[in-house]
Amino acid sequence: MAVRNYTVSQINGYIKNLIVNDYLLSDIFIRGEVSNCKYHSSGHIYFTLKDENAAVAAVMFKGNVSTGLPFQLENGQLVVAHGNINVYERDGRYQLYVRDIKKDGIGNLYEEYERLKQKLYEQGLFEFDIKKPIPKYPKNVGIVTAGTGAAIQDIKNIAKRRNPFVQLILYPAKVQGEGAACDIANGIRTLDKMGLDTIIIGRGGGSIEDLWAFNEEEVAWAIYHAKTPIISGTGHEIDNTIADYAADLRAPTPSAACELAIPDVMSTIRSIEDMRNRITRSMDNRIADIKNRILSYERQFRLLNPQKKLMDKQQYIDELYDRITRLMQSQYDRRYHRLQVLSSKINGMSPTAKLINGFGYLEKKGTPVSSVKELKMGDNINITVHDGIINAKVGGIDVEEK
Amino acid sequence: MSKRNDEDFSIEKAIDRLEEIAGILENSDTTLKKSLEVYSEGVVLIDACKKNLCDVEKEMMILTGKGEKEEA
Repeated sequence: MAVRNYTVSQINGYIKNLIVNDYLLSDIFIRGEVSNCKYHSSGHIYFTLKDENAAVAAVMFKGNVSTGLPFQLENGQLVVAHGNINVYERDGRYQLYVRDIKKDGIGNLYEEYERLKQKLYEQGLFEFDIKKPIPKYPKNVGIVTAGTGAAIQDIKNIAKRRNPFVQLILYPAKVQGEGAACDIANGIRTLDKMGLDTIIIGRGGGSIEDLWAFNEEEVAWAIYHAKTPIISGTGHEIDNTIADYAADLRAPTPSAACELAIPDVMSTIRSIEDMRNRITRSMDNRIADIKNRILSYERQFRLLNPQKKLMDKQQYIDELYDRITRLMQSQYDRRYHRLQVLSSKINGMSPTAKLINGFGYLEKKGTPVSSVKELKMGDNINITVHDGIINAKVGGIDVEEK
Repeated sequence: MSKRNDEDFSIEKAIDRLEEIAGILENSDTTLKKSLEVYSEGVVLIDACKKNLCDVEKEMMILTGKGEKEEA
């Protein structure tokens, strides 16, 4: 078998052919850091794209620079270069022929995010003192989010479950892509003018690019200027957007924002019913207490009743009366008996009783006569005997000499 | 939103007042007259709170164009 020799040109041509016919390499985006960047006087740009472990040469021709490179290319920039891989046969190396270049979204966005966060922080947009309290019993809640998608459906369902009496007002906003930030800010301003209780802003999770509208300054200022308390719920729990910092309350997700905005009405009602029980119990206790006190006073009063005292005294008086009566009776009886005795004794000694045997007694003008000297001739005298009185006239007086 | 006739009613204030009333009722120094007064006030407030919380179930409104509204 004869050994076949190839020229260098043939080999490079062969490889070039392989590469050119490769579907993937014909239209490719490569992310990397710019180095060895050289703007050639011809207008072409030569540079190297590299990451930590590898490098690839790149060239951007003048014609593409004017249309595909909106910024000055510099070493150290993180970019995404779009083009195709081809072989530069003269050097025997492949390189990227760049049609257009964008700054690498993520690298740039993080930088932008940090810069804006710092700036707004310094301008006081995230101050704790300016955070408005979230109403505990909202009636009208505004929402700025996409009109379709999981976020609004979740919010609707949660709101309905927790409190179907709350009026939800949706401002359907574009939440990603060009004009999203402006639309979100408009939504906040529109709902703010309606005098609602709370506004929820948010969207479901996504990459930093997806959430980017919530990192824009316009949205932050719209939140800052709103008079309505705003709850933001953007993305998943690990993503903090500028809007999250600026909002009055931050929730990890739109659903969580809805839960913070709309308290469960049943638990509110339960606590109000608890309050009813509490005050009714207090009132009942109070009344029962007063009833008991009245009863106990009544008992006391019955014991201390003057009527009772009076009756007791009356009874005592009756007893005394009986006693006195008894004593009087016995005294009387005793005396009466004695009187009887004395009376019969005295009857025996009565002067009139003694007049029976010729005795009588003399009176002159009602005065007993005890001496002849009290009388003179012609005096009228009365002589009392046991059965009557004799009227007489003194006819003579004999004085008995002693 | 339609104007509400209970526009002036603030459920926050009502609930604060209910707390106050409970405190007054639980205080044994309160006179019976005062107790009855605040108790009736409390019962009225509770009914008003419940009425305020649960009136009519709402459907979500969607703003279209220049602040016009439509029911969802």
